[in-house]
Amino acid sequence: MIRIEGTKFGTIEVAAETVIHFPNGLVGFPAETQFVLLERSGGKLVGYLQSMRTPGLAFPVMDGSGFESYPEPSSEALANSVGLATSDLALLVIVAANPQTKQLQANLLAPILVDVATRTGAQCVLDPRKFSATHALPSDPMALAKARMDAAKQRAAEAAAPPSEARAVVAAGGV
Amino acid sequence: MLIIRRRVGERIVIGSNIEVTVASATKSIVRLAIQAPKGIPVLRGEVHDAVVEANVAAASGFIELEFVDDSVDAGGGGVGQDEASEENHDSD
Repeated sequence: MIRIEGTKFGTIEVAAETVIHFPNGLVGFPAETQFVLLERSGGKLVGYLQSMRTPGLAFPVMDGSGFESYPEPSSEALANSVGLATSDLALLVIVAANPQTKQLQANLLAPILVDVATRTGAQCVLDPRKFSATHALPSDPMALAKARMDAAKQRAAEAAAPPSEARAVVAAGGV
Repeated sequence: MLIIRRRVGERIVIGSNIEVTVASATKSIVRLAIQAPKGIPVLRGEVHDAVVEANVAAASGFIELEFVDDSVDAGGGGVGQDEASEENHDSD
């Protein structure tokens, strides 16, 4: 176990094998190459990508696979373009609160892909004409949860293929 | 800061594996053709800056999400690789 003191959640311990490597860091944070995904034990709506290097640095994230027609190009194509394996991908988007309205917004412009098999990740930047870095989310958390559950159900119903691995992976932790 | 004069069709090589070629140029617009290896992000400056800004905002304006309680599960918190691969086998 690796102990990290002084995080926004206090002192935490994480298993070394859960560390996710970001060879290029995140955009604007090139030195931040190691993170762990912390998930709350309850709803799993939101987790935190906690830096291993900087205890005070944590990005709130949510599963990005619930957004309609997202991402474009596909996660596989994106992973390929950044040199990640394409077989076992988790898709996360960073969320933030709008400083004025306090409304939640998701950074759909630059999702985070994680190759779960090698635990390697990268922040990809999509077409800024199609995706916003400040995509407004439903302000009512219950509505948000419901929208995402509906999307998940729809996908499961549509798919002859199994439900998104990204979802399964994100749900797998923190149970 | 290095400033280099190039004509259309001429190249600049950065490191051993990044090439920038001047594809065309008018008075106000230069078109660049950039070849870089996978994993090296190539972004328009303003797009890069927008992503940096969003990342900084998310990290610094740390949100007390109303629907996030304090009980962040740090122990089993990482994506469990074993669990994850089991899930995947199940779904195969």
